[in-house]
Amino acid sequence: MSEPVRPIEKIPDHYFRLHHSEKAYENEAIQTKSVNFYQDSWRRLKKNKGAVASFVVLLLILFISIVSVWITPHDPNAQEVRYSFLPPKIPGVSINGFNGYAKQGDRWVDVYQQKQVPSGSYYYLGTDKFGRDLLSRLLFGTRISLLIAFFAAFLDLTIGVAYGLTSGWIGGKVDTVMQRILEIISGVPTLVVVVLMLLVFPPGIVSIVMAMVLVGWITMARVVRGQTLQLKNQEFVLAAKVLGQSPLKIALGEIFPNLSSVIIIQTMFTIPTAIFFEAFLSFIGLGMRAPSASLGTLINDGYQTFRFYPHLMWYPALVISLIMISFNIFADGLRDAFDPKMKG
Amino acid sequence: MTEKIVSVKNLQVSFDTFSGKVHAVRGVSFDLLRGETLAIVGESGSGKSVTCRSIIRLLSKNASIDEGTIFYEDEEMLLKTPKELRKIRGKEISIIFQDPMTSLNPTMQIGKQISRPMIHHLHLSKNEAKRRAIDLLDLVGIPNSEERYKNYPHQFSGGQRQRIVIAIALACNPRVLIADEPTTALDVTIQAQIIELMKEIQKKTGMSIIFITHDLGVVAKVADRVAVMYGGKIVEFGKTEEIYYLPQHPYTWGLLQSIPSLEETEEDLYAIPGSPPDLIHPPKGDAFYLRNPYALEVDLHFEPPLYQVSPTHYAATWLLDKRAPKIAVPASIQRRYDIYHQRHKEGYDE
Amino acid sequence: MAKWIKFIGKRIIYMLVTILLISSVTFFLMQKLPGSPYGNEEKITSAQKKVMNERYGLDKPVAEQYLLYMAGIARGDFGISLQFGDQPVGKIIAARIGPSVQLGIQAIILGTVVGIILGIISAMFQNTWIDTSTSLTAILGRSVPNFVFAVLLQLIFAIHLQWLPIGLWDQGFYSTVLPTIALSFAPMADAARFVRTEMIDVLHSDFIELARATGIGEWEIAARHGLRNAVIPLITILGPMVASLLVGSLVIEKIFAVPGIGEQFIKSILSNDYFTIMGLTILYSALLVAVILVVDILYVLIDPRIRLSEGDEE
Repeated sequence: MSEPVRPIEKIPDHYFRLHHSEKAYENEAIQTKSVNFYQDSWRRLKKNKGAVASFVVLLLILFISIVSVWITPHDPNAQEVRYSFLPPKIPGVSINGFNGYAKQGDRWVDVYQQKQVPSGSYYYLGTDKFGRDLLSRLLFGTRISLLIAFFAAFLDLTIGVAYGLTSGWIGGKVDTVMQRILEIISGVPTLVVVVLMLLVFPPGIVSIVMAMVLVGWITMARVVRGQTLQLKNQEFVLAAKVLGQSPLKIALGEIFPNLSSVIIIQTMFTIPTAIFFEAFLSFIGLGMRAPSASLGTLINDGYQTFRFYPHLMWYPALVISLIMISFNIFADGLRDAFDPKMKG
Repeated sequence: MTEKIVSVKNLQVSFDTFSGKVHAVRGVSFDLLRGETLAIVGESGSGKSVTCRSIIRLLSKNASIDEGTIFYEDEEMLLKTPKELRKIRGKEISIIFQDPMTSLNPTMQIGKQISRPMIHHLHLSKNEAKRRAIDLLDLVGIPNSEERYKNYPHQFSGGQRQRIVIAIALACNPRVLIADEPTTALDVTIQAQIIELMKEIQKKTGMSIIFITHDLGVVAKVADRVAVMYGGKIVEFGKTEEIYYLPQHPYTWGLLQSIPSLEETEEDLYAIPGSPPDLIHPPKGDAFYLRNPYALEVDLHFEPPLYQVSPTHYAATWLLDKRAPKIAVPASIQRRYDIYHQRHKEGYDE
Repeated sequence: MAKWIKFIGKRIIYMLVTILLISSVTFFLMQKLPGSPYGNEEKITSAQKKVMNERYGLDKPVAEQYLLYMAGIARGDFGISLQFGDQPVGKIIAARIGPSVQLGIQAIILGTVVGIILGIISAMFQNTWIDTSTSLTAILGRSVPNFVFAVLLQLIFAIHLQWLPIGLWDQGFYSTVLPTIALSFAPMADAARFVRTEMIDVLHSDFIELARATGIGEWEIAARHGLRNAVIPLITILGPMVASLLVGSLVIEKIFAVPGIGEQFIKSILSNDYFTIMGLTILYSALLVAVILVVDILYVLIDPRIRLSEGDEE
């Protein structure tokens, strides 16, 4: 049926001799470059444009909110009631709405002139009802919101991992009891717990964080326990057992490193949840107290005067949405990268 | 009866993956004859499944058929629109998969899963389809078919599920059945029953079967002809007897040596050393070179052509070239040669 | 059958323990509340004080108060509101629960239906622009806080276009449209994401491949085989979905001035309405626990796979 493609007569005769060596397999092993799990995940993550862009945005926001500790256009808490409700004014921009003009009735009016703001002073995003610079407050609020979120996520992680790892690794009766406790707590609506805690404890960052952590660690504990149960029966763990390593050492040395991907992913989902919850609490009036600002309180303040000065609400709303979107896209990207099964 | 029903020529299929383009099938040609059972044998990753799925174009989204032609009767399958393909799938050509535990929809009554293709292709009414489905359940040996029509997959054992999968495949009386490792996931005794069932049905309906497996041991019981695949190519094909008793390719030798059998207790069970070739960067020469204890230097540089052994038997190995050194074949293979020659001397011919 | 009774019985016990725990914790936390009836004497009329002292023994030791309160709950008596004269909390809740339930049910139906559709479309066109845009919609739903979204809806549809009332619950169905949409955003996003993942899994499963091999078209496969297998597991996240809906309902009711329990909850919190807060807390918890119970039972009933492991057929 098939005649050889090339004239086989041209192949030199000396090629026809046995040419096998046991070393061949070793060569083969070297040929295929091995890529470990994290490198592989990293490569997948880099291919996800949305995730990379989100990561950059997050880094930028983080950077700005740290730098703004030292550099802000104005003091975020300095009140100057004379200059309240100034519209945004950005140097060099002459578009109505960004040049110090605001619509009064049907006319655009230079509010800065009206309120006798000294020329040369700019409020890039305008001022609130106490004449505080919105941009400075926004930078300040973003920092507080992120701080609360990271703090809460860190505590969730610590408690959740410890609980989940203990429950899954020890197993048996301990696991059963710990699971029952978890089941009962998970029946409690987060809303109720957080509201009660905030009613009782003095308002502030610590109370908000504690209130959120009180129920927030449960998801992490569940995820970690599930993963631990899976890992527990794998060969490398059994091998460590056979070799006589102490259970604690195996849990920390063998299991824990293998949990890192689920922990990272879960944390990336916890942070935006915490940011949202803080904003929610501030919005219903249970969050940070004046003069402290968070994204939530800024939105709430803006909402009070929303009909007349919508920009006071939109800017903080925009920032919080941007942070949340970036975190969610980045977390999704991380999950897809760590769990390639999800991306067919 | 020796007319072709499926004809595959120079098929090349590749997959886009994160690590690169995988050349899974690299120029495969074969014919399936009317009423015959053709076994395609090879280890996982040899391209046997991909080859067969290409026939009904049931490939994942990242696959592309780069070259070749596939004819079913007089129709070029590669030129068909999705709509035309759907008219052939299940009606003319059916497929069954390896794992009966996952091949059935867990949330749908099995009867509905059997009758659905009949309603779709043969435009039967629901009741007619149900009656035929019950007949089919009888045919594949599910007892109490009438009551079990309403059961869900989890209420059946693995073997029974594979029978149900076969019933689905047979629902519209296909002319070709592609069985993709249909017995791999089953116990040995159940395997034998399923193979028996398939042979019985073939006798009744005269359909052609492509039987994909990695187990040459199973093949002897079912196949008329065998094609051995390695690294995306067919390396040897011939009648079943020729593959069993007159194998030419060192890879086929390896496969035969790894079949456990009662006669060969004195020898250890053989395992082909090494791992399958890297199909992202397919080797320039023979893909089996690295694992081949009988490799020649030429294998490193050139791919071997198919040499004709008999009018029905071909093998792609340089060992068949007249310039190749005479080598001593493994003892167990030599014994097979002896059996072959003895049979044919005594006039056992077919 | 015995397994069923055991299964449901166990669930109900958990439910009761959870509620008991929450009511107890609530009670003791309330004792610490700055501005509780004790620290807030001037707000309470002497008549109120008398009633409370009679009924709840507020002048008695904490332990005894606790027992009295729990006994009251068991009878369905949640105390009296300090904000509205001496109206019983039960009555206030009864008067306000209607709009909240309607809003919640409308939102969860709208959210899950739209979410399922988005999820399925997304999965069927996986890694195409259709998938990207539906996934992006879902991410927006998860990311943009619902109060921002609610205000945006108000601005566009009530203030600028004036198609729908800006709020208040006084124009029948029309006034429910905007709050329903605003509240449905989060469950929509959750459902879309969940169904997409499930559907992708299902579409890659062997039985879908087999259905394809029998010549059935993609849409029919999605509807007949995919939908059920992808949507049944959605029941499992119904609990968390309802929990987040409760959170959402607070702000949505506030923004749209819906006379529901969420709005009442905020008011009670801000005015330290001791018994109302406790009553609503217990109500919310009971609601969530009940939803979790129903979800568990539903799941066992609907999914034939689970019937095997739980039930004793065959």
